[in-house]
Amino acid sequence: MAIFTLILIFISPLTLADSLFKEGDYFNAITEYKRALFLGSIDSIYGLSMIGLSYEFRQKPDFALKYWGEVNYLKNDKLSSLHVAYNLLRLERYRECMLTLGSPVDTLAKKMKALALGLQGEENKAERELKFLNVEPPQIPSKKFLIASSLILPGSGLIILGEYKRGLMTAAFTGASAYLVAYFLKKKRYTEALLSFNVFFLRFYMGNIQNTLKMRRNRIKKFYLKLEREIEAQLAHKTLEELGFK
Amino acid sequence: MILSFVFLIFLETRGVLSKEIDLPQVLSTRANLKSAEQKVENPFQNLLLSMIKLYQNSFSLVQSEVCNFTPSCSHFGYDAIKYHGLIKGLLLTSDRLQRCHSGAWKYINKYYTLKIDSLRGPKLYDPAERY
Amino acid sequence: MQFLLVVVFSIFTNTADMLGFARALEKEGDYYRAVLEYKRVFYNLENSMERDSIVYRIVKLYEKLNDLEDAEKYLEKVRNKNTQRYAFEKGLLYFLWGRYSLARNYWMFSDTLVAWTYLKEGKIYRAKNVIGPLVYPTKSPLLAALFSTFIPGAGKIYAGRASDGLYSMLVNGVLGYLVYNSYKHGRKISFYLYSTAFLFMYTGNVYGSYLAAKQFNDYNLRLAISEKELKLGLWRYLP
Repeated sequence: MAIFTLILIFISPLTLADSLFKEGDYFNAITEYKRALFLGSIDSIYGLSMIGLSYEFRQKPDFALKYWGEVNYLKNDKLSSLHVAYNLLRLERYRECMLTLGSPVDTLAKKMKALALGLQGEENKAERELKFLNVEPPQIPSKKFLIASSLILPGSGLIILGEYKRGLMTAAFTGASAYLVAYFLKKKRYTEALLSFNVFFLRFYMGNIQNTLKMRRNRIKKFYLKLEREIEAQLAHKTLEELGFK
Repeated sequence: MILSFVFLIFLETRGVLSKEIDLPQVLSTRANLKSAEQKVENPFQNLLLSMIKLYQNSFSLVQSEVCNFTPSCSHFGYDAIKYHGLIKGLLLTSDRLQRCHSGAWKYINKYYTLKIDSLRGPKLYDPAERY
Repeated sequence: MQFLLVVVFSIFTNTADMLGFARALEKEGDYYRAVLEYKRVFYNLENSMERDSIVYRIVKLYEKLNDLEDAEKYLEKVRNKNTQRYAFEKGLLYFLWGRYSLARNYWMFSDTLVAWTYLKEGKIYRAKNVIGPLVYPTKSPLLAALFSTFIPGAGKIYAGRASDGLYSMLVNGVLGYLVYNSYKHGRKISFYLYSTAFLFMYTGNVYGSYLAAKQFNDYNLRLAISEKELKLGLWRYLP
């Protein structure tokens, strides 16, 4: 009985934390891992890694980054660097993420680099990386084509992207404001023509281009969000395997 | 043209055209306003609120990102007219429209605070509840 | 199995360890978890004085988390309520809540703290005797409104908002010109449209100038109060 109790004293904080983690109760798992670290009854690298992973599952990349940063400082291995890069990515610090990844060799790191490039707006480089990984890049019309079509026919860019209601409204409003400007010019009411041009036409015309690029950006983000979820799952699986978590 | 405009407003009051455009930042400021569930009795007030909603569902979707503030001027006007009443609401809206220009950024940390809107980026925070 | 582990674990971890862990969490900035750990310590303690000190720690953490309702609830668990510490903490809670008159009831032992509550309420004349006069620039809202009545935007320039004033001047000027122009050429529809717009903008400009002067005064008062708080070291009382 005494030996059993003695064993429980030494293994219970860790076992409880691992049990809570397995159940998906990451908040309490973090508390128990922190307690175990404080009491010194756990390997620091294992504890810090599990805390970092728990914060990632709780969608708190800022806290996760702090803990994975400490692990990376203590251990300086590929796995902790990947986690640091992943959390920098989640925090939209793309340049730092790419600096951390360096010249990646394995598939997961390459996917992360492609994601960072894509979300940063360097689409050509991202597509090149994705082609190496045999991943189909997002099928979206190029920026130049959309801008050109929007400049020539306001609203056409939005229609090409599938935003029919918005595209038609843009065409209608831009057309109406252009007609208004022309009407005032014809009547030689120059002040009103200038006002209509500034307040209405320019607003809708520039809005047409801005909205087209915004919609395009949203489409690209949706594609990369799917890739991010894949990376999250693969990284978590790899980490738990390497940490020996059962 | 006037008849079609009136018809559009009629449809708007019936809720045919509009969907609630409650951006996250607007919801959080609206939650702070007193009597959030207050029903507007004044028909002229209702008419103005419907016109603002119509604007938000048409012009606002088409134009570029022009407002320097969060909540945007149309949301501010809506909140001001709904919660402060017709006259004060109109006065506040008019004043807000005359303050919405790039020079307003000079008064950050003095009269306005910075708020990073997830959809629209960094904007000056100026809710109707301050008045 | 888990329950057994939790029970075993709580029996075999002493209060000193729990307290140490709570302090470590607090130092790390993980206030919510620190509160939970302090509560665990609180329920394990017998001695009143120690329990009271833990309660005050929990209250301070709730204040840092801006959860004043829970802070108030926990403050009631203090056993010895006849101390100046309790009165101060209760007063501070109401102070943070903005209920300055209630805070004053608990802070009667200190003239400086009472004066602070009057300062926050804007009743400077009441605080003057203790903390000295508060000097700050002011602008008359009515004068600002009057200026804008004659020259749109002038009131805002008077209230220190030059760019707002100039923009108002431009908008009202252009609309005014359009009203005059449409009247001169006998265009009725344009005249009514532009007049409505001009009236809308003009009245807003006058009201806006009034508000601008008021905001100028409020801003300078707040600035003067913060400077006074800094000078008197009142910030050290805040969580």
